[in-house]
Amino acid sequence: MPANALPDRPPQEARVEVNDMIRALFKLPPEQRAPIVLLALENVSYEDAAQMLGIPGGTVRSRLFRGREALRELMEEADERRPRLRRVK
Amino acid sequence: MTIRDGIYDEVSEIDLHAYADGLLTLQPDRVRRIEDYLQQHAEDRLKVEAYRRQRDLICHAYGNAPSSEIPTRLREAFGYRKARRRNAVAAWAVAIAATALLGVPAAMMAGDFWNVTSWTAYDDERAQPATATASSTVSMVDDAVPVALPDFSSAGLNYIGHETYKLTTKRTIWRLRYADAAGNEVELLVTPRPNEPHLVSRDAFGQSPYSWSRGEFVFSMHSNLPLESREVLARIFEAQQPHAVPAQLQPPGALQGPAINAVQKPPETVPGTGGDALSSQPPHIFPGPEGDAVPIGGPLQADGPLL
Repeated sequence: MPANALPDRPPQEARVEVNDMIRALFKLPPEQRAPIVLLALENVSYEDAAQMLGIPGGTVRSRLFRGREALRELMEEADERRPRLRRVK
Repeated sequence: MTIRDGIYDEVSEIDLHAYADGLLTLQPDRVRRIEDYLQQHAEDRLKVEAYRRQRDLICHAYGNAPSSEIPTRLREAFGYRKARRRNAVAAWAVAIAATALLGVPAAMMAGDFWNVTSWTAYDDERAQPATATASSTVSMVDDAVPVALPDFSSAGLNYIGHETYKLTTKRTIWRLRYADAAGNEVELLVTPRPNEPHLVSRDAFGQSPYSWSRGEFVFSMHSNLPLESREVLARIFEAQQPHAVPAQLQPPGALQGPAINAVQKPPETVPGTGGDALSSQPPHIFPGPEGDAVPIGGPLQADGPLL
């Protein structure tokens, strides 16, 4: 598997999934997108994320939870629309 | 809260997200309890898997995607030139070697910063030229950086997109790109945590950057525009920051890190306004390159694009 390939998916499908994720992210309100991206990329604690964003910790958590749920639904919708790739031997 | 029954009444939504984020490594008992819970609750198990998948995808999209995965039109939109691409492999190899030996700053100092191929373009929409206004809600906080996206349209420069480059897992440089109709380009690098060497000594435009710092950020402006024009843009930027503290514009040499060509005449401090649209603010007076008073939004604006 190439170093950059996501697990469990053929590279082409993983690429489509990444693109779907980017589109889904930008459908979220900015205030929900910020903690999701921050947590994913910076791997910080919720408290650190709150400090970096200048909002209370509880607000970070609620935005994170709502945003992730919204992302999950968006990705499920995208997954249903996505054509399945078939491995040809 | 996800309280399903009395046995797992401590397992909450917070627990599930913290578990998905790997934030509970120091709490093995809590991890074990959550894992027991997830074994009994398939719906929440799927949720946790989905959250982890989201993280993987976001990391892949923003941090780890090789440039070959960026569509050609996006690379072109973000200024990847063929001349640079020809050297991309060699430059990347040099950057990796330099990083291994001396850290990323050394690679950047060597000029490879502008050839690094792992810049990540954000999304399709950003590839199209767009004008961002200071009063819009567009902000870099979208991308987890509490820095407002500057509006340089008063200087004839339109926002054309931005990219990120991950220095480390915790440090990301943002590269905001602007261009005007005459073909002039401006790139503003935003780097958090200025306590480490990070700046380049020269750039793709063959000029020293105009650099300054504020709070936890260092800003470095690269352009083919003359120094005094970049200074004006820096002041526009600072005036537009929503939580502007008085901008401490410093000569680049005052910053920690690699030596950078010093600005001949360091600009004076401009009080932050916290305002929105530049046009609604009274023009700020600051010394021009020759010490003359030059109002932003005054003669420069009246004369058209900032050149």
